[in-house]
Amino acid sequence: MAKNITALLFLIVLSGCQTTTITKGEAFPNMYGEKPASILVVPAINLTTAADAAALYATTIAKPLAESGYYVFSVPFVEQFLQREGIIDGEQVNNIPLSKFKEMFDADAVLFVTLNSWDTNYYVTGGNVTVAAKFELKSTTSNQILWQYDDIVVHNTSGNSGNLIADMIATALATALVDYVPIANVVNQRIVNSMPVGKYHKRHNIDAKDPGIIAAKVSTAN
Amino acid sequence: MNINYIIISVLILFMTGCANTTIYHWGDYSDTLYSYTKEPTNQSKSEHKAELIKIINEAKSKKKIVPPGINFELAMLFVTEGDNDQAVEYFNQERLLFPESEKYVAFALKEVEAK
Repeated sequence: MAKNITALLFLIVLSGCQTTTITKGEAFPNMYGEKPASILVVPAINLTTAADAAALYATTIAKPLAESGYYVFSVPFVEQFLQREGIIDGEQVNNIPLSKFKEMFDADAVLFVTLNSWDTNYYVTGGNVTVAAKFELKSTTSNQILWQYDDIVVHNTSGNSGNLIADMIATALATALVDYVPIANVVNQRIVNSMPVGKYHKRHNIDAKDPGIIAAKVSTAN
Repeated sequence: MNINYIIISVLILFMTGCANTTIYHWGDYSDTLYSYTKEPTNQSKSEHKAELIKIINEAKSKKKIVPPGINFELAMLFVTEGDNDQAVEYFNQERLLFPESEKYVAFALKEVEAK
């Protein structure tokens, strides 16, 4: 018995070390099964030290989702609506049955996001912004997780003119006075790329065989 | 002569690099929305409103579709200004473009009428 457990643990550790990539269809079968058309974005759960992270996320998430072919309910409107109901933090949304969002807005799916870290790093010749986030799309009809991705995105803010002094100054400026909106755009875009596309995208239903989904980042889905 | 070549090739590089494959026209939507979210003043509000109107106009000339939620958001801003006629017009525009919005547009319209 103990041996079995050891062997099992060993296997888990081993498989954890490999980057296994699978197709979108293998990673997110529920998404292809239910084919949600519309997504409602709720406020993010912000576990980072950056107070701005949630607002940055909220104002840049509609674009990649819509460009992936989904109808996206106005994010500021949903935020206002929830606020009137006394819900400010994403954590509180967990207390609302998902079916409510179907009933009130006819939303097919709700996107939950936990922002785990948002760090700005600056070193002499370079700099970056590292964002770790967990995305979860849940069905309002079956309550199932349709799509899930857990990722760390590193966005380089270094200057790269080839001139060391100029680069150092450029990096310092870029990292200190950085406009985070484009970075939030990049982060959201990269994560949403793993999501199967929706009905307004020309590759709807035919992207199931697209490879490159890192199995470990899908973790507990299904 | 040489400089012209360089300029032209750089231009071509830029243009191909920016090859536009988006479904919708977004303008500076995220930027003005972020400013308005962070500091909801009259100025940031009118800037965001102006951007929404600009997106709708430019989408027409660029033959792109107005993104989901843009007409709706503009309608909501008109509601806050008490201009319900304009609001209803943009709410209906959202519904026309995206049938998925039917129910929440109806919900928003009911709130407007109740005022």
